[in-house]
Amino acid sequence: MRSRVRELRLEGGLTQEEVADRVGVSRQTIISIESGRYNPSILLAYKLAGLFSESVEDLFLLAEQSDAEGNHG
Amino acid sequence: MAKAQRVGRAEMAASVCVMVLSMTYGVLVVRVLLARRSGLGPAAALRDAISGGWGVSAAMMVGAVACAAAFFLINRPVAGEGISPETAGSRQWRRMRLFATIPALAFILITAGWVSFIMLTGKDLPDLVLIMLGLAVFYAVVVMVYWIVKPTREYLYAQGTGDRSRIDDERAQAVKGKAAATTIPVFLGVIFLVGVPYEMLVQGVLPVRSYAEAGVILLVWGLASRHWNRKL
Repeated sequence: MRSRVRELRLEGGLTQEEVADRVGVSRQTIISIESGRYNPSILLAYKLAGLFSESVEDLFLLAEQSDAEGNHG
Repeated sequence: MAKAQRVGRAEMAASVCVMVLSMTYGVLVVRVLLARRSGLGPAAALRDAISGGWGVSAAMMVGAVACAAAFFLINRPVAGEGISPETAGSRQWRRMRLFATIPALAFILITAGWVSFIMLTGKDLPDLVLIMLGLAVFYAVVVMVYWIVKPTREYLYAQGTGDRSRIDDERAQAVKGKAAATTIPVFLGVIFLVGVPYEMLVQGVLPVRSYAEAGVILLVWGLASRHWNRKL
């Protein structure tokens, strides 16, 4: 799973700590999601998507899906 | 906030109970051991330990209850009284650190004084002092950790509000589950590869204790798996 959390967080000028506070998790969880080591629950995925005003599908991409999109692009 | 504070206090009450039980349990174990060594039977040793014949057990219990009461009174969530959760948590944490440090240092000093006195007078160290030395080392480590390791912001938030959702979020719970799943097979391996041979070869007895330990672990694991299988 690849996520666009880091990209959107930086675009929004937010720190990892601020994102963690807003969705109610630890900073370590955000770090792990950004680095791809941890796949969040559906609930957390929706909270993150809501925070960045994106859909869950646009925020989290399966590896093959993101590769395919990269090849088409 | 009210709910978070209630949760915080429930956790605090639980931790106080654990603290009191662990302190008194340790004292009782030592008393029973010493009474058994002095020739008393199991039931008499247990009665002797509980009756507080030497006053040590009773004094420790009173001390533990007093410490717990002090902890309960001074360590309560105060966020929402005009200060931020992290500031409130920081105050709580400093109080807890002080609460851990004062009795630990007192215990270490008493033990050190006792050991010095015995060594200066040239007597043999009794078993109780050796156990106290072990406890003193444990307390020293606890105090050092308290003064060296700084708490995270999430931890301070939880201390200030009683809301532990950030330090016990979904990833933390997943980590706990993975850690437990790793620990149990290792424990079983140690029991069967070290505990069983030790009982048979060194102690020359049937490895009943090791098998009982492995059995309890497997039983609890099975029951817990069944419970969580139904719940999740």
